[in-house]
Amino acid sequence: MPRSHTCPSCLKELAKIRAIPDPQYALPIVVCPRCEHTSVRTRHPDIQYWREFRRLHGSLRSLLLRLALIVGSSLLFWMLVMVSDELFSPGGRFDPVYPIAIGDVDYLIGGVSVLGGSVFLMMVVSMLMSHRRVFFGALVLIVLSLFFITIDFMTTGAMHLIATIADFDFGVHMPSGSEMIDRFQRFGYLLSVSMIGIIPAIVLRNTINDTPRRRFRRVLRRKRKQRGSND
Amino acid sequence: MTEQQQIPEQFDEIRADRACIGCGFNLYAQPVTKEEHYGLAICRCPECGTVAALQQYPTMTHWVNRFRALIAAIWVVVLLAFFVGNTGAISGMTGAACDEGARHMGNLIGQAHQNWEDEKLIKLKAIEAEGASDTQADPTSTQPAAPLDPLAALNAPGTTIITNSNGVTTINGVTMTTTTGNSSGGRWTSITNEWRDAYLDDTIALNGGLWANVNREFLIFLVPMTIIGTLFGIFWSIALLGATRKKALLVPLVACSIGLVIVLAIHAPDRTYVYGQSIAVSMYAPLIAPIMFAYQFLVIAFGIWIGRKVARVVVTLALPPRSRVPLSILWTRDGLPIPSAK
Repeated sequence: MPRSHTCPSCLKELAKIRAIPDPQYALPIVVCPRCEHTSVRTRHPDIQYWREFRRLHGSLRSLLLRLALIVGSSLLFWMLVMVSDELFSPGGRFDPVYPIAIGDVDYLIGGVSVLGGSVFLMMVVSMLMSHRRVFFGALVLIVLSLFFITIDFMTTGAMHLIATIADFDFGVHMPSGSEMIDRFQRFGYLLSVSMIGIIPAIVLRNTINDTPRRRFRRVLRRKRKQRGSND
Repeated sequence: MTEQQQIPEQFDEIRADRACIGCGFNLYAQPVTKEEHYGLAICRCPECGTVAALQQYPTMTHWVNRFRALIAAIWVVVLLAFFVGNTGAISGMTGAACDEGARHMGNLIGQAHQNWEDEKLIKLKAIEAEGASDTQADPTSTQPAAPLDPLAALNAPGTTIITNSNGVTTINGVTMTTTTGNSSGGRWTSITNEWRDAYLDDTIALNGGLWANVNREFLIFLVPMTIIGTLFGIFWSIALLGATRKKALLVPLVACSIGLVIVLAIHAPDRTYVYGQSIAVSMYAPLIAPIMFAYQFLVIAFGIWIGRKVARVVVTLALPPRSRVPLSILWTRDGLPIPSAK
């Protein structure tokens, strides 16, 4: 229920009457139907506080949700790169046609899952980054996935560097150069396939942006901007 | 005064929510009247009789301010919890680094004590064996006694050896050694105060001092300290938006100071320490802990320095322009303009 707003002239309750933005000052104007007295509907200061709080909460929620989805998608992409070792290079050799070549159903299902998964993840990240340029989502996915792919190399490398400087033996396994190259090869292969996901992301983004509500908001924003430039 | 004048004229009734300023009663459907003296629009609460002036903001009860206070209190509690977590994390890592750094010395102390115990045991058995042989030997014999065999001494008749469940061995009622599971290199050997008073300093000096025997693997802890410290720094930089970055440095400074006191207090030299490792840690903690806390302070300070920049980049990348507006304090706090849509 709206909050009470009485006419200063005839004391009629104006709460149910919709405030129309004034074209000159953009103030919410209410005209009393009984005495035609014009008054401005002002917001309660506490309401403003709650509105700001709600907006902040919405922004933070949106930020955390997007970050969780982006980082989660990158982690899943990293996992696909790591498990594709078993799928594509059984002899320690990277061979993308291996599942097709051997004709094993399990391997085929695995291959399709990995490739389909990579396409889906690219689509998700591209959609989440759709407010920026088209390939920005792909760039974010590349950077984060590369970070996860090399994190063990970087941390153990730092530990081995410290061990070398301080002159002691440190027995933690560090990924070898060939292992890293193998990972990068698989990453490049999956990434090139996943680029297909950008196409549905663009289509879906345009569909979502064209909903009546968003269209109305766009028109409203444009009109406000025009009004601002006229003033 | 006529009847007509006494009854105020009713203009309308309230058809929306408006709480009474006196008792909080909802004045919905109450008549709006014009007050006689000034002609103000008023509404009288049917519950408490309080007059509400209608040309004002509707009262929203005290719960708004209570909610504000509640949210502020929750935020303070969250910050305190993070502060405690930060102090605990850096103290834990430093404690672990001290423990790792003292590993070699702990082994040395344990082994030295073990050697001393073995020698003591052999001497004791030798004396007992000598006493037993004296009672059986011919007192008129002028031949010198044969050299004592330690193994024979240990197996001499009449010796009672008891080892309890804690590994404490007593020979004829004398506590000899308390070795328990020395597979870790001797650092978990129980050290007697007798040996500690007599030989501990000499043992350390003979092995080259504390720095010569530090286990340098404790430096590995610098890697997790760097990662966790930077993350904490970024958090403090964003959470303490009311403070400048210089003032925000007080938080890690206080956390590191408290952590240092905790670590040094936990590992303070104490006669009740019984293991070689704990004695070694008590000697290394004053050396390693200040270095580690100083490093962590620098790392957290680095996190504070880059924190707001990182937050701005993340918000700019992840959120569309309209959703960034409520987070504009990240820019305005540092006197920067809010980034435009492009």
